[in-house]
Amino acid sequence: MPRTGKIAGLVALAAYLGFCALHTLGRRTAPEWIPARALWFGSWEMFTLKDDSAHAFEARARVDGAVVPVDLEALFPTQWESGSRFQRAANRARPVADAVCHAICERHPDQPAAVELIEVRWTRTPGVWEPDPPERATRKTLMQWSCGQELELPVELR
Amino acid sequence: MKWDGGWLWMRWAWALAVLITHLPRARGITDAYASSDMVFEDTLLHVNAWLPMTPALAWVLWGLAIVAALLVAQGRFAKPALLVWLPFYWILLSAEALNMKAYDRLLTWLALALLLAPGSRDLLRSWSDGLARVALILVYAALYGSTGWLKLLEEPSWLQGGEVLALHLVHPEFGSALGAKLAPAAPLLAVFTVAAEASFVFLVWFRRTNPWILAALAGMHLGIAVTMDVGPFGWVALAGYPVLLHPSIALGLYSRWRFSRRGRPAGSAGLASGSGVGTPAR
Repeated sequence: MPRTGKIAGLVALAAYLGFCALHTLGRRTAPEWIPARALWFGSWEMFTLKDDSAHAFEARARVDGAVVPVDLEALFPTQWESGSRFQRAANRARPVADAVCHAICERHPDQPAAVELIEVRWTRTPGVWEPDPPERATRKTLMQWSCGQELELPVELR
Repeated sequence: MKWDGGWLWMRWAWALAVLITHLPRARGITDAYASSDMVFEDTLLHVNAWLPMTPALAWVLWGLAIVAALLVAQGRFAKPALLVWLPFYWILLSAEALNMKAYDRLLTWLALALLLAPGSRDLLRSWSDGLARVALILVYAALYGSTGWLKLLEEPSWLQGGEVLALHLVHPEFGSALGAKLAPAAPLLAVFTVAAEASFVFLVWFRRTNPWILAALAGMHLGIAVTMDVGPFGWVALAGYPVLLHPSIALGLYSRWRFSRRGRPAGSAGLASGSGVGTPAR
């Protein structure tokens, strides 16, 4: 490639990354015609803002009329470096939570009639390591799902 | 002679980072990448709308990405292998859709930089315009600059007691017991982190400050690797450091190393004439 082409490419790269950085800093709003994922690719925001919340997911299933706890780690064995896949915060959002409930119905060996996804929340304290929900944690039902309910796959992420 | 060895080391470090990142994903092939009951459509590639991901196909994509990374490390077919790695890696990630990590994006940026890199397998070249290195510096300047300046401008807790860092160190998914013990040092570590990240964009260019800012950020990445559970991000980030290191400093280090081994510095008449120019002596 000629040197002028390389320099033009560098200028374009600098402009793109600079715009992504300003977008991350909240100093620029992207025009509507730019897909959010196009900026996501060059934007970096990691462990930046203060957040003392912690959360985990639990689930219960109705099997033969009885409500039983669900072993989510057995049903969804994939572990990322930062824990189980089903514990990802994105699961809290509606379309993903739908798919999680649907998959619990599909994967549970006792063919439950319905499942319930529960969010467990607690507050972090500096210097105190609590990987599992402590006793003070609060629980809230995120979703109740009937196992006969249809779900159209693939579920589109937002 | 111009120093080109950084790209060689970066290729090896990049391939190693890919293996560290990608090999463990084999465990999730049927549960995450090719599951039939949790299928997501990624808004970028829409892979699951046009490519039914079966376990067999997922294994093929996973395996080809590994083979491509090994070919990149080997060097002879590095650029074609990168062109294979890029689509196969991202089709597999997009099929999973939920969990595209920052280090996956950074690996991709490094792969693009390697595509621009000088194509030789030699450590030294008679001429190099250095523009590929500038492109890599821009990527890292965006990475560290965005996070550093966001901390500086939008989150005062980084400079006022470091509580934000102390809380990250005890995050149930990313923290650790060792990280919790660092809470008393959080104020100092927080200031160090912000200073290193925010100043990278200014200090990386100059020979005098280049090694110090890289050493500071390498220390930050190693500290995070020990005290937090954020996967291979640090190893991926460090993969680009051989190129980020100022070429004249890298050449000096290499010359001293060669001199200590063979009693003949790099850049001398013997090296320039061709003898010894190539992959490093083992």
